[in-house]
Amino acid sequence: MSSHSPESQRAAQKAETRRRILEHARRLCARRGFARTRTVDVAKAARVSHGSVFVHFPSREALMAAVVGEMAREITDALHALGSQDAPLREVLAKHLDCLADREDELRWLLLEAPLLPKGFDAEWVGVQSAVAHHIAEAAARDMAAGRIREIPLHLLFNTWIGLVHHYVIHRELFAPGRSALKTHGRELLDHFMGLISTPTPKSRSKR
Amino acid sequence: MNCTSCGMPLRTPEDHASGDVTKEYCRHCAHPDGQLKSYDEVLAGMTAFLQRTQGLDPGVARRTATATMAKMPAWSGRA
Ligand SMILES: [Zn+2]
Repeated sequence: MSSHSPESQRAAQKAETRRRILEHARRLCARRGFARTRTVDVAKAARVSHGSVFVHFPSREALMAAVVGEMAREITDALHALGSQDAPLREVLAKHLDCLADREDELRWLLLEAPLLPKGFDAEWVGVQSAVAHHIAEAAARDMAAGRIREIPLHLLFNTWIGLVHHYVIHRELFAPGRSALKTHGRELLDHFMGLISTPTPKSRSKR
Repeated sequence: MNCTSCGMPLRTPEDHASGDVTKEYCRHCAHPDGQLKSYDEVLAGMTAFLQRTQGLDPGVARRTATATMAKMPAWSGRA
């Protein structure tokens, strides 16, 4: 890859410009949401011409879909890096919280604006959720088999967790004004959820 | 790299079909002998997965799986 031909330099430059546009688009979307992020502002922030944005992304929708896609890839990769086939559910959920906390602004806009966003977004979003669901389902099935958590249909376990976490993110101003809802309350939510689904320990049984 | 059939990241050898890193698709998309499943088999598997793990409506699950597979290199020959 050490060739410095004009073609390879141009290709590298082009990739770098695309990366910069995407990075600034993400920052703007995190700050003001997807619906209100204009390509002209992205161009200004990335210090490229407005036309240059469309060289790399055919439309505003394509750019926004790329923003969600990039976020999806990061979350998927982070969860997959947990990798080990035997991570307990608690560890997977803790990682999920970390991933979301690091992108809480973007996530919040995505959740708030989802019904208003163009079609392409759906697929990207379900892609993220599928990766999350996959890891949660595998870990939950292992914990159920080992008797550590109760037998609960996987989709209800998943949706109960997601509902709880997303509720705190969407209504962040009620739970952690001006701060990250998940960095503030994530640990509490995780403890609570695990408490709900765990099988009673011998100790708590003997208390009754 | 990612599975060319379903998009799942392929990180460890075990992620690959029958643990063979030269295979560009994942263990979920392959038969036990390492052969890539058919389009219909992968579609059915992915649809069932979406229902089982996320509780999606059957029609939504099938449409989502179809849209996901449409973007995958392994199935690019299909309309
Ligand atoms: Zn696959």
